[in-house]
Amino acid sequence: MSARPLPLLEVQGLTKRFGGVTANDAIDLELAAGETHAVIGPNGAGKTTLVAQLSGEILPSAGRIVLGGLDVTRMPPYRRAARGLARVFQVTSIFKDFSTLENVAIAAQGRLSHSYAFWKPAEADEGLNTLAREALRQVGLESRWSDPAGELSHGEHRQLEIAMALVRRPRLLLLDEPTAGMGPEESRDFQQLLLGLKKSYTILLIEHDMQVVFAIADRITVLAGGQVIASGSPREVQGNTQVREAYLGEDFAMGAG
Amino acid sequence: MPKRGAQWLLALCLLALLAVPLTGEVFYIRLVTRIFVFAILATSLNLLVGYTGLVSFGHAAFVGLGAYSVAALGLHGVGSAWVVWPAAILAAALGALLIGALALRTSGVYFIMITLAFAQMLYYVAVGSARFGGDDGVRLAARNSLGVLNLDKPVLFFYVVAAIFLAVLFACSRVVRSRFGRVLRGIKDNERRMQSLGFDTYRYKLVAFVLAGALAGLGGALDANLNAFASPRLFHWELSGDLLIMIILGGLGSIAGAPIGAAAFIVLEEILSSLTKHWMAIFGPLMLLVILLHKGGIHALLAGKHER
Repeated sequence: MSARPLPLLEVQGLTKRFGGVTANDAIDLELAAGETHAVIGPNGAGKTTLVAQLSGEILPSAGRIVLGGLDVTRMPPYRRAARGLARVFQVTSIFKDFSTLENVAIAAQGRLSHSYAFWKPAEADEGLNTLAREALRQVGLESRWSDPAGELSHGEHRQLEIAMALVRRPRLLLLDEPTAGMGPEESRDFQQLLLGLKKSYTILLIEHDMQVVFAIADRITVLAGGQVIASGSPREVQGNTQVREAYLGEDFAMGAG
Repeated sequence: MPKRGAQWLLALCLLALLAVPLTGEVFYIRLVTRIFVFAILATSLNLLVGYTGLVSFGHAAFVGLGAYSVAALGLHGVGSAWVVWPAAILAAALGALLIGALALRTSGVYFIMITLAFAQMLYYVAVGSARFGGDDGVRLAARNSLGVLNLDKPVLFFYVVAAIFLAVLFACSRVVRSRFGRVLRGIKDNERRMQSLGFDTYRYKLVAFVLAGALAGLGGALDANLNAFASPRLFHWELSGDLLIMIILGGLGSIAGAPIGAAAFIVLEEILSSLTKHWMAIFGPLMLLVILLHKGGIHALLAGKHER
């Protein structure tokens, strides 16, 4: 008799109502460690609300979120981050006045138990800098380390966001539409980067680009109208008629080939 | 002007100020002592506004707490600077802890208003307190004593204040570059992101608020000593406003900016107010001109920094 391993992330009956609108309606979701799980859905399906609840920026009306066996439903974002959740924002969210390296270094600093060190220059902290350089190398941004982050291109901003997540050695990567706003070529390069990450991280991917989703997801959950209408392997989801209906008019089959 | 040139110019200005006692003119010695006191106050506010993005409009509260600590201890016959000044710092830090703990629950305009409200509350307490002379404030019998140094001698007091100013400036220049300072700059740039990186931003902001309040308390104690007088005006929002003007004028978020702004403000006030009672009518447009020329204030203008 072997006990089933605890899932890394467990979402049960997650519900969020805004006045009369139910943006998330009893959503269930389970992520095993090492898995890459994609959440897809047409516009207005409730993806953004789901991400905001998972990261702790808005609190649910009902339901629970369990991360690594610990109930985090009511925890503020910074405590979830300390529990190993790293979020990559849909709209690039970096420190534009900092250099590229310092952006990653401050992310690394967030892993320390505290930053109440008032005297030694942070810039000269080789421990943090080494971690930051390593993460920049992982995403292929090491040559831009000294440039102000505000001067990077859109695609490079996305890479920087990933580096800021990786340097924290997260248990769960929450990628919120990482390829949003990218051209086809940038998107393809980025897909390669994600395929590399998939080997070593547990990933929850919220994504619009079906090609990316079908290329990297082990499991897919489909949201529509705030509810889960399907969940399973890419093949199962693809064959689901309800899903096809939800995506009526959008080229859902695109990534199927 | 190249950056190097600006640094030399600033160093020269500082040396010139430090040499002022050689003139033997008590008026100028007092004026420059006042500049150093306000440079400390402006530097402390710059930690909040310039480095953390917290626009506090109630910084006077902590200046007043520092000054009134000197007065209160003086009334009880405690006059040693070794006791009084740390006590002033402690009182201001405690005030900042209480006010900050509440005010930092808000942000933006609400934060500005709530800090202003707390400071004004303390102002009316001071005005209404008969024990502390109400509207008239408290006249001190003498300056605090610092061992063998007789601070009632203007020159000695001048150099003690100058030394404290330089120490505060050096310490702050270290703090803003430290890991803690980096967290503050991160909060200013993107607080939401800081939270998603695992930083409890409320606590860091509170520590910054207490630190800035403590330094303002020290400045307040020095101001009370300079004038041998603790005035309720030190709690008033006008002082908070003046300090904000100084750091905006000098350059937000640069260590040299706050002292430059304090010096420019006090010198201009001195010159212009001797010309006309309505000196603010000249000062206002001048300040506007500097800000329009460069958002980074006088310091950025001197250093020839480019606007991004």
